[in-house]
Amino acid sequence: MTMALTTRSAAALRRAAARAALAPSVHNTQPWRFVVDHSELEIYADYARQLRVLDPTCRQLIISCGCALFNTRVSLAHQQYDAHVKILPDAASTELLATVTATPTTDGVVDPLAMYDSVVELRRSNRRRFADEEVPIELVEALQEAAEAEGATLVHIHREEHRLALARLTQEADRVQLLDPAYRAELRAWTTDEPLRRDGVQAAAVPHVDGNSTDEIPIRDFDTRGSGQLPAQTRSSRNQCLLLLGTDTDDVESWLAAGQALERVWLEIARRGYTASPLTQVVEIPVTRAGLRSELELTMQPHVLLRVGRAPATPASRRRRLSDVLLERQ
Amino acid sequence: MSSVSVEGERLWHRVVQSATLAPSVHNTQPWHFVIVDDQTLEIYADGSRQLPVLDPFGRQMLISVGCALFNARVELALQGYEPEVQLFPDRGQANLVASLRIPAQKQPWLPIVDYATAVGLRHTNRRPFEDETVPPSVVHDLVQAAQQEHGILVEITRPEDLLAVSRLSRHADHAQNSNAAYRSELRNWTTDDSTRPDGVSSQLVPRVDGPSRDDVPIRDFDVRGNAWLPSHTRSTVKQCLMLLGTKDDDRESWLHAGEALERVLLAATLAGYSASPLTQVIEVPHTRERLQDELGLSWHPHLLLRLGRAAKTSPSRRRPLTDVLTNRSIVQPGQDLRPSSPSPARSSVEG
Repeated sequence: MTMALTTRSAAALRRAAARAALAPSVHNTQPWRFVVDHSELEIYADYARQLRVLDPTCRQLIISCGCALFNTRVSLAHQQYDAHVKILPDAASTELLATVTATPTTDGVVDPLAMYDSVVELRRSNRRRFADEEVPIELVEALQEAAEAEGATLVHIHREEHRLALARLTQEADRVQLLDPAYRAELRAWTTDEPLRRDGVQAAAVPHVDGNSTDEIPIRDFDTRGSGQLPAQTRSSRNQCLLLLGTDTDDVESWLAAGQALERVWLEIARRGYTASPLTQVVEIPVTRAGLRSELELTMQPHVLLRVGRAPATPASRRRRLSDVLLERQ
Repeated sequence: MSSVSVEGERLWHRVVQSATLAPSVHNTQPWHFVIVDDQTLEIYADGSRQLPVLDPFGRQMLISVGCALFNARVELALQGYEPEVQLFPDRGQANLVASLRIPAQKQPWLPIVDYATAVGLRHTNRRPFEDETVPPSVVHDLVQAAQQEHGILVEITRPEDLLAVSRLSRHADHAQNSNAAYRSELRNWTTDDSTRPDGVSSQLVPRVDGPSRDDVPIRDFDVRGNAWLPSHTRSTVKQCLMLLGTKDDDRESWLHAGEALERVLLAATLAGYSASPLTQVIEVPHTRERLQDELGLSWHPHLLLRLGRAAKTSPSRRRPLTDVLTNRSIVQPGQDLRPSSPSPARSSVEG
């Protein structure tokens, strides 16, 4: 490759890394590091940012990094580059999750992923009250296709007995987590009301918890400082549109696939003017996760539950400085 | 209208000052004092400061007011007075908890005057306690102190009882922490605002930074994750655990329990020991019943106390006297004597 081409693709990869940093992550931990090395972008897991209590297996950390990986692919498609992704390229490293190389598109065909680039900044975790209106089945089908394109499965939970089981198991998971002081301490450490802090969940950006909420499917109580500004009533009922994302197996590779599928589904939701928030408590507790599999008769390994609907806009969560997450090797 | 002399006002100020140093649940300080005349002081419970989730019946609120009442009696004793105390003197006013009337004659010496030096030194101590055991003579003194105030105090010594207390306390802790309303209430009454005169300060509570090793959990007050005290509290079944209760379970008994509690706490302070109350097991009705059952109690438990030696801790904050004291002789007729609006700190949280 000529020098000029290398420089150009390095610039494209740098832009892609900047977009990757906008991906969603568990508790907004942003557990990633990116290295741009001439014609290659390396995506590393930052295990110092693991949630040791909530996420002992690093599943959610890897899924977050998978979301970031999907954003780099979107950005490269938008810049008319072909992305070549190698998953877990170094058997000796658990930190290096993927390498991405980019070559300019030669056939002039626009990769359909390019259309997601404009919604990367618009995608939010929206913890506001969702409108009562029903989510059209065409959207659900489009989301299922998006998940399948990334090798994952998206199950629409529509049967009444499945919804009831899901509500019951989520409530149980919520209870089990909150009685663990270590879980509470971890949650407190990752919620913040410091205006200058660039990670963690903003204390004001979560539903206020006053004990009067009647959520059938509880939304995680992030209101650790009692200063949540969003309405306490979230209307998170078992009748809302609930989608469960999973993969056939339960290893690092499938978690990376699940992450890419999650971000693809989420960007599709945003592109169509809808919004979503992930509900992961039920899959964080092994016993409720197992209960979910048996009661919903799932063959897949469930990773993330998404509630989908329409809601007023919510501010973006903070992001770490690019200089803190991106290293450029000359 | 009767008036209050300068000397009378000075006396009541000292009495109320001392009363407000009493401990209260979540440091809510749910009391209000009214100087009626030179001879009479009224003590009210401030219902706007009751904790509706943790304390729906107002039991802990009245225990807190009972503690204040005992301090008032100690200060009066120091001045040579043994007041005539009437509990709930006016059926029409449920919040009027007690009226204290001082006799014309001073007494040369009253036994509870001994506690006067301890009033300002008693602080709820949530630091790690030393391993040293509490000698039987101290336990005996505390049991006596409770009895003087119609309270029942027993040390829990049988291994099976200690295990039951541990198991039920953890059960209660779990039940409360999984209740969103409980968490919300706790958040409203814990604070890192150093100018706030009530609530539990993050400077005075143990840090919660991982799995608990406590046999008998201490309430997790570290809601902001910025507590100052060591996370290791050594709240084990090997520490000295005492259960305070009364024969009946009505409003008068709760006041007596409060007086007994403060007397016990002051006696412990004089003996060089610290105490911290553990009430979660009592707050959850189900675990309270089980506690009565499993320990075979024929009386009603109100409070579990851990007792031991610990490094010094700072006092919690107090509301200024002007907030808690009304002089009726200078109040306009018809004016409400008690504050009914919630404290400013809470209304700002709800806003």
